[in-house]
Amino acid sequence: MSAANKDVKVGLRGRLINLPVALYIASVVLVFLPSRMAERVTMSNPIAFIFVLTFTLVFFWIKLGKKGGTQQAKDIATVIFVFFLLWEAITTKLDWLPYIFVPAPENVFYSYIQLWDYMLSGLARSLYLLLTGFIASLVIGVSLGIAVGWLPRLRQAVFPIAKAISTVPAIVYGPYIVVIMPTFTAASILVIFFGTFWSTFMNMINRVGTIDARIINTAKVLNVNTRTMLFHIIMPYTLPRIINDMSVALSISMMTLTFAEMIGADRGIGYFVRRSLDYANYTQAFAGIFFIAVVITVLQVFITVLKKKLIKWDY
Amino acid sequence: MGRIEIQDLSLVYRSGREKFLALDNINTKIDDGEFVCIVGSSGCGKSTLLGVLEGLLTPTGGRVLIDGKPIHGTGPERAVVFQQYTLFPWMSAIQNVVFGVKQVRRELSAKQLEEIGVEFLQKVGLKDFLHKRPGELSGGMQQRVAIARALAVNPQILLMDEPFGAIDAKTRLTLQEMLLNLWAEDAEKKTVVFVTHDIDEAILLSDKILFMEPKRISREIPVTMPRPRDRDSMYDDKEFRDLRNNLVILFYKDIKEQIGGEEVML
Ligand SMILES: Nc1ncnc2c1ncn2[C@@H]1O[C@H](COP(=O)(O)OP(=O)(O)OP(=O)(O)O)[C@@H](O)[C@H]1O
Ligand SMILES: [Mg+2]
Repeated sequence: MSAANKDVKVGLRGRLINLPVALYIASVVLVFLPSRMAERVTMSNPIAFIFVLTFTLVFFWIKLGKKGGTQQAKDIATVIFVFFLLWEAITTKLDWLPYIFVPAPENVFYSYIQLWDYMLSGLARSLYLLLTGFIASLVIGVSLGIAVGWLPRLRQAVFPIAKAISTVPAIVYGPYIVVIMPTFTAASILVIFFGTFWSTFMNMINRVGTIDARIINTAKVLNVNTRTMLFHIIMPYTLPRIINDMSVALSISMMTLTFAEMIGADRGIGYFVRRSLDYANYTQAFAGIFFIAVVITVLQVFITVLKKKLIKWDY
Repeated sequence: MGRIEIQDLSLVYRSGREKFLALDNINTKIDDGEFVCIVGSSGCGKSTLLGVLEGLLTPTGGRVLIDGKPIHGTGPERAVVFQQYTLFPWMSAIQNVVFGVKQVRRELSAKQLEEIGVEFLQKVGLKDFLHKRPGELSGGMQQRVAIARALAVNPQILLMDEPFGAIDAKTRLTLQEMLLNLWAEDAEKKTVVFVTHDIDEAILLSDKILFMEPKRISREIPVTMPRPRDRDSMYDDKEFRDLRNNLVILFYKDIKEQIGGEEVML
C-alpha cells in the first residue's frame, strides 16, 4: 500500500465549493438551454450525456478523498468539464462548426443507449483477439527472452537481430499475414502477437543480460540448477519490469488490433468505427472512439492494480 | 572435514584482448576448523582468491583441494556470505534461508524446511522477523539473514567476503561477537575464510591471518591469543598490540608503495 492511497478527510464544503463542481453545474444548465443546432439536427435525449457528466463528478469526489491526489483530481476534472462544456457550447448552442462532422455530445452519448448490445458483442470479439494475441506474445516473448538472455553467446547473436526486427511495426506486414492465414481471426491474432513480440523478446534478453551479478552469484553459490535459476531467480527478479512494459505493449496491441479490424473484420470495435466512418455517421464514430479509449484505460488500470498486488518489494 | 589446500594457484582476468594477472602462484593450507582472515590493501586480489574458493571463478593455473579432492565450481560443502544486497528481495527472511537449504536437500518436506528456517533465524536473533522482506530490514539485519542462510545448509566451509564491510561500527561489533559464538558452539568447527580491511576485526576473529600483497599471499601470521577473546581486555594484551603494530606497518608499507613512496598519514 503506498502512502498516496490513504484516505484523507475532505469536508462537505471542500467537496461542494470548487471549480469542477461549478463547471459541472454550468454544463448541465447549458444542456437545457435552447439549442440552435436543433433546427437542423434531431437532438437525442440528453440523459446519457448528463449521466456521463455526473459519473465524472462522482469519480472526482471519490478521488478527492485520496491523499496526495487532491490537486491532480481537481485539475483533471476541470480539464474534462471544460472540454464537455466547450463541446456542448460550440456545437449545439453556437452552431459554429459543420454539424455533419462535429456531432453534439447528447447524440454521441445517446448512441450507447441505442447500440449497447451491438457494441458489447463487438467488444467481446475485440477483447478475445486482443487478449489472445497479447498474452501469447507476452508469455512466449518473456520465456524465450529469458532462455536466450541466459546463454551469453546466443544472447549476443540474437539480440541485434531481434532489435532490428522490432523496429518494423507489425502493421507493415499485417496485410501479408491476412493474406497467408486461413481465417481473419487467426491473422488478427498473429498480427497482434507480432505487434509486441519482438520488443518484449528483445527487452527480456537485454534485462537478463544486465541482471545484477550479485544476485546471480548468490544463486550460484547456493547451488541452484538451471531451471531454478530461470524460474525462481531471474523470473521474479525481472517481473516488475515485465509488468511495467506490459502497459506499453498493451497500447501497441490495441493499436494493432484496431488497425487489423479496420482492414478486414466483420465485427469488433475497430470495425464499428470504420463502418460508421464509411457511412459518414460521425456521431457513432465518435461514440466508438470514446468507447475504445475507455476500454484501454480500464485495461491499463487493471495492469496497475496487478502490479501493486504482485510487486510488494520493488526497489 | 573442511581442509583447504591451495596449490600453485594463478588467475588471469581476460577482457577482450587485455589480460590481467590477479593471482600469481599462490600456495597455502587452511586447516580443518580453522578461522582464517585475509587482509590486504584494496585491489590486491582478496575477492578474486575467495571467488576461486567459492567456485565462481575458474583458476587459470593450479588448483584448490578440499579434503584432498579438487573442486569444480560451487558445492554444498561451501557456503558464502557476500558484502551486501545478496538476499533475494522478493522473498521473506525465512524464504531466503529455506531457499538455500531446498537446493541441496530436496528430500525435506515443507514443514522440515520451515523448522530449519526458524531455527537458524533464531540463532542470528531474528525470530521476530521471519516474514519480513529484505527491504523492510536494516543492513545489519540483512547480513544476519545472509549468515543464517549460509549456516542453514550446514557447510563445512564458510567463505565471507567483507561481510560486515558496509555495516556501521557499532552493529559490526555485535555481528562479530555473534559470528564468533556461532562458530565456537559447533562441536565440529567449520573452516572459515573471512576477508576484511579491519585489522582489529582480523585479530579478534582469526586463528591465522593471511596477509596479501598484490597477487600473492606474502605472510601468514598465526594469532595464538586464547579464546574466548574479550574485546575490552584484548587491547591491554601485549601480543595483541605487537600483532596490531606489525600489521599496521605491513599495511602502511603496502599503501606507501602504491602511492609512490610519499609520506602518508594512517
Ligand atoms: N572481472 C575483472 N576483470 C578484470 N580485472 C579484474 C576483474 N575483477 C577484478 N579485477 C582486478 O583484479 C584485481 C584484484 O581484484 P579483487 O576484487 O580481487 O581485489 P580485492 O582485494 O578484493 O579489493 P577490495 O579490497 O577493494 O575488495 C584488481 O586489480 C582488479 O582491478
Ligand atoms: Mg574485494
